[in-house]
Amino acid sequence: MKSPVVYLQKAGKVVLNPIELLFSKIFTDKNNPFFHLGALSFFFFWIAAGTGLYLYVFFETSVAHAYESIEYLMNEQWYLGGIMRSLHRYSSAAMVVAVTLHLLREFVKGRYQGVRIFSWVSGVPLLWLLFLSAIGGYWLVWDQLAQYIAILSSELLDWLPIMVDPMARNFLNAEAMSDRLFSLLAFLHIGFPLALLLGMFIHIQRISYAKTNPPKQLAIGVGCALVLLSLVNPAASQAPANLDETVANVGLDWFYLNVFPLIELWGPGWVWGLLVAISGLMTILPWLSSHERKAIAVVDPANCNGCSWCFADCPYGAVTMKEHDFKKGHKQSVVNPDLCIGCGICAGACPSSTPFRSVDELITGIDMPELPVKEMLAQTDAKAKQLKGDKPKVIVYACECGAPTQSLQRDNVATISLPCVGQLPPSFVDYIFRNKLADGVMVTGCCEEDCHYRLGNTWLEQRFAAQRFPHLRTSGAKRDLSVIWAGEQGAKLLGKNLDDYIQTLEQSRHVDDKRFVAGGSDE
Amino acid sequence: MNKLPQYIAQIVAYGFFMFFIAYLSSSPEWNHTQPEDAMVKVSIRHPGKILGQCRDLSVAEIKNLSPNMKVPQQCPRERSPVRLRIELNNEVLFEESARPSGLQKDGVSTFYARFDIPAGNHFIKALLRDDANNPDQGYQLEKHIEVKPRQVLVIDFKDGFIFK
Repeated sequence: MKSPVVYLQKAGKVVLNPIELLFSKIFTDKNNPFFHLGALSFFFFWIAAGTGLYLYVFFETSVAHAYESIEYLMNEQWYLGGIMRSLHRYSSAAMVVAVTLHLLREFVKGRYQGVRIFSWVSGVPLLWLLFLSAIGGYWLVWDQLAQYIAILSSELLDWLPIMVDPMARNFLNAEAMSDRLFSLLAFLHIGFPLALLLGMFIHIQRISYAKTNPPKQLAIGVGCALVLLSLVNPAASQAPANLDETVANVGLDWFYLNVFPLIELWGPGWVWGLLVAISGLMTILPWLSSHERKAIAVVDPANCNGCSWCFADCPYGAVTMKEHDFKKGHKQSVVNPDLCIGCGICAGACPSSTPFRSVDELITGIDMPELPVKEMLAQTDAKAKQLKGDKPKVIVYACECGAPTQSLQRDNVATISLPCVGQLPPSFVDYIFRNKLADGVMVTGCCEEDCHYRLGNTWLEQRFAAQRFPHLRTSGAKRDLSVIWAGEQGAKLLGKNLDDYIQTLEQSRHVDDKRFVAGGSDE
Repeated sequence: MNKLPQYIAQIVAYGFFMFFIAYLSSSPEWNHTQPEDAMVKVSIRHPGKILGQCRDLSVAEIKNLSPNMKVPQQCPRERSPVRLRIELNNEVLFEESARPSGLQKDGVSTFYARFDIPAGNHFIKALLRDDANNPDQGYQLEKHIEVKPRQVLVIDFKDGFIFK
């Protein structure tokens, strides 16, 4: 019986996939916000931090003047301070949206188990720090909303049997408030974001080349949207706090303050129960469903020349270098089994993963037990022989995480599936073209910027473009090769691109035939 | 996708993003209390009476004590729980017994609660009992009050009830 988690993920994909597809059409894969939610979270954090520094210069940490100092910025200095304040608030709201979607997306796509457990679990306390940072900020404005959350927060904390005097006594009436408490709140509103930043740094430690900056075009887009929003609809304070009077209606920030109505409706005990239950459930989530772990990469010291390309390409830092077992002065790759996700990107990077080597048995320096390079070569040779028909023959290397390949079934097309397309050494493309095993080679995998194993398609593109080792060597191979990053739901797109590609190959074949005939007549 | 429709779609998407952020940042409004109501906040911190009796130490016992610890009496530390009852217009609004804080049960007892009440005239009766050995003795205050809409009335205690 399948775990309910699997059904949740399936349901999540039904909702998420069409939305992502739509956003890819609107923004392109490269700038699809759904593929950069982690980086966008960092981006919004930096906006909030930068604007917060400016606001702090003008902010007065006293009960009597806190509200006034914010109002000064909003009214007298609306052109800068006012925008800064609005940006501070809206970027914080945008951050919680990005973080929530990031979390849901990683869950739905199953990217939270195995090697990714560290990132997942370390993300849970970050949610607490994010909410504490934001709620602390709302106190500082000292308007009616601040008054409301000050009273409710203190009642929530007072439920815990940790303090002798109820914290709520600080907010009984106006005379109970003290400036010292305000200084403490200002300190906390700086301390929590700093702790959050440290936590974010830790959160990305187990991955290589973590993307903490969104693409320039997307960053400009969301940045401009926030500035425009700040101009059109400046974040306004509510009426000043007055503890001698009750707060009737409050304009609540539902992104961060959604827990406060629950405190009123359910009482603090149930809310604590809910918060602890959600945090606990999220923490243990990776262990609630089975995780099929792929076989990890294996190093063959005899064939490892210590080039360190696999070390440079591993998306999870699972490959390190050590002194070679028996070649003096050389390095040798070592695979950390706890960090290896089994994607095979390292095998694709290995210079000895080439079919051109004159050896009896193709054994590479670092290889994948589930699909060794020699098996990939055997499949290529065998499937090339099975290609039939008059139409141009094409060999497709398809990523298992990308679009389903059923739509590619044709007599003149052979498909070879790889765990990650990053496992494909570019020399295989050279091998097919040089030995005329097929007229064309198509490579397909996850959407651009959304590789299931993080960097497979990026590295392969760079290898094909001679920006990263190993390079594609046959002249014209880059031109004749077709690369389609279609993603999970791109079956139609893939089929259409294959037809177009075959047609292009056919046309170029006619051109070549005509050239040949023309050349013959000249003679 | 053609460039122009793509740009228009991007503007729509950014517009939706802006609206979503702006709207949920302050809407819809949440009703915390009714504007025509007032509020009573009961917030009291008060130590109960010490439960046991002090005992005079003998000269020999005092002699055995460290020089800086010499006292003529030894007193138990445990305090009585404090019982508080607030009635509004002869109906019980709040009734609770609070145990003393601290592992030795020698600290203050605290109460905190808040209630929305209709604005206008009310009769409040407050009773506090802080000695379990004499349960009939304590503090009591009866008072007619008038509260305006949105007014916060704090009931505190220091040597007697205080209405603020």
